[in-house]
Amino acid sequence: MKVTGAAKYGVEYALENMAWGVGVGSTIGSGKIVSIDSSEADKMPGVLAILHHGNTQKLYRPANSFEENSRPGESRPPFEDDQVYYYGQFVALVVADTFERAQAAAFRVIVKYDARKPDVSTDELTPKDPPSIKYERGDVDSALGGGAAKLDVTYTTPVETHNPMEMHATIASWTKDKLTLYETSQGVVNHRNCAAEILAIPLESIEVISRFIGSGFGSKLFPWPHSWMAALASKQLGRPVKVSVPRTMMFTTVGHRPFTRQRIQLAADTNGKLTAFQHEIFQPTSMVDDYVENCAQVTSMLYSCPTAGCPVPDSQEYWHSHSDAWTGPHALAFRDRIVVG
Amino acid sequence: MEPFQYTKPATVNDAMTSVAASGAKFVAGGTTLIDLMKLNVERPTALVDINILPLDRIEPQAEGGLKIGAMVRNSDLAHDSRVQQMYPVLSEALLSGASPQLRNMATTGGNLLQRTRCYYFRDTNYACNKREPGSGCPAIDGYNRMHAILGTSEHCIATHPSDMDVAMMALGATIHLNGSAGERSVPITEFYLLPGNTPDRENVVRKGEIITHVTLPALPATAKSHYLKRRDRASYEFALASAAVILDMNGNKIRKAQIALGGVGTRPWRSPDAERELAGGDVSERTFRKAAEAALHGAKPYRNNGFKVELAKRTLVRALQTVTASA
Repeated sequence: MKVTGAAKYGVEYALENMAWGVGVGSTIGSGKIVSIDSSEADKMPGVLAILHHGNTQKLYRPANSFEENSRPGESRPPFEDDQVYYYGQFVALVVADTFERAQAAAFRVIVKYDARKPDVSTDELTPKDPPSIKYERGDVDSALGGGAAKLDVTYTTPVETHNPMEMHATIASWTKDKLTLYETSQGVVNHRNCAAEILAIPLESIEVISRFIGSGFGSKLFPWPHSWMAALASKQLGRPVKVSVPRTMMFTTVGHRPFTRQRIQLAADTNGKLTAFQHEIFQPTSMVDDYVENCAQVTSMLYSCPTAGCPVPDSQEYWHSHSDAWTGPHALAFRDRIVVG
Repeated sequence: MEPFQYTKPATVNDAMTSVAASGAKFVAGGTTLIDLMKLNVERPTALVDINILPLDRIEPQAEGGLKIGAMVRNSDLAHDSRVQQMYPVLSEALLSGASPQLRNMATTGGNLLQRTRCYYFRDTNYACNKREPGSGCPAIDGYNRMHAILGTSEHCIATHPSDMDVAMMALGATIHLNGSAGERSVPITEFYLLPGNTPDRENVVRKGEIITHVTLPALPATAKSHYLKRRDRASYEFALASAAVILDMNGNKIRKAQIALGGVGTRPWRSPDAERELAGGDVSERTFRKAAEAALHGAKPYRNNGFKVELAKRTLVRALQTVTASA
């Protein structure tokens, strides 16, 4: 079906009078936008509008609640203010009558920044506060000290970015006050709920359509800022607007799995039965959202073991975290090690 | 991508005239140039399309060896039976590079002129002495795992990424050019420039010149050749280290060696030091290892690419073992 064009991705619909939006991403990791000079871009052929924090309507932060099914990928709406939180954050959207014209004009937008030096080293990361205990049963510290066999190992996992074949993209189209979003989404209901809260419009006036997607791996569970940029542009121009996230910006603006450092301590009796288990996770989180990877979620349930603890230090760091893919396999690897020993 | 004029000359003379204009560049397969234009690294104001020029033949030379037109596609060159028979190292090098689709488009001339994959060079948000002399080199103190350990300067450490050029360097190819000052030929050993303090100048091609063909000298009947490429992925990936080896054998002794390394130099790296160690030597790991030590003598590693020193040595040793083991 895909090859014959019968199965369309969200961005493959051709709506009448549609325009193309190409995002301009920040080139600093942290700091403030000092100025956006679009004077040359404005005059280029086919350019219809150039949106940024200085000239767009206010958007709202949503409830950001997984339980209420209103969870965005990034709670900060695009163009909220002049702050830059990560490299590749959208700082402007150039809309033109063709993709090539929008792209050419986007290159001509000059953004000046007041940059701060971002803290991007994981080697020297040490938490300032004691860890918060996400789960505990029994007296872990004594049980760890008392086993016949013990194991204490630390593993790291690198930053991982999802790269589905189909890139994130949105077509936004308004008819009077009704908004239709053609999306690539693993959660259209959540997407619609977020749209209502962020754009401050009634739930019933929004339709989110996602018939086929080219993989998501979790990165399409929650909506990302380009969706709202498309909606803003479409409202402003009174015509459908398509915004596609280019492959390079798939590494910056639609989340990733953070680096983790995981320390696992085991104690077992002489029969090899686990008597204690502790799984500590250390990871950076986002400057915008306090997100924690569910690394220890499986650990707490995996083994029959009377004492267990999962401390997770809180650490306000850099980058853009997302994805709730877990990293449980480490627990299984350690079990094998202790039995053999 | 910037707007540009587009012409498609039918003769070499017309092509030379067109490309002499300020801001004009040739486009052949476009497998480097179009990429770099999309990244706004290359911004020609005029593209001179040379795809219909009559430079696409492979012909034997009267004095032995082959004459290869600049427009011969990489895939055609790699699969040519004469190339496979006379210069296995060249065919192997070509087939280890890129992907079939890219090889079908890429040309001999274009391959010689390919540019570095340094990510700072390819991203106009970074300073780069190669793009803008004097602006700085963020790779030297940045993330430099793919960068060079031979031929670097304090201004540039970008690796030359080619496979074919390394094989041709070992083969002692000659590059033939034509321009307003007439025809000339340049041995490949003199074709590429070290970055020094002018990393923006990569080769000796003058404005208005076109590469018309490459000639390869004949190898003795007793010669064997091989190309070995080491990289993170098994395909569609550039070399972390590679070796092109040509050995002229006298029984089980090496009469003469021609050695070039790839993935580790700022240009395809011919190694006379390795060749000296091998000349007259026996077929043994000890001899090969001595040659590898000589080849990498003076290599300068950077923060993330120190592993390349040992990797390049072992790649050369393995290539020599393979070529001497073959019938």
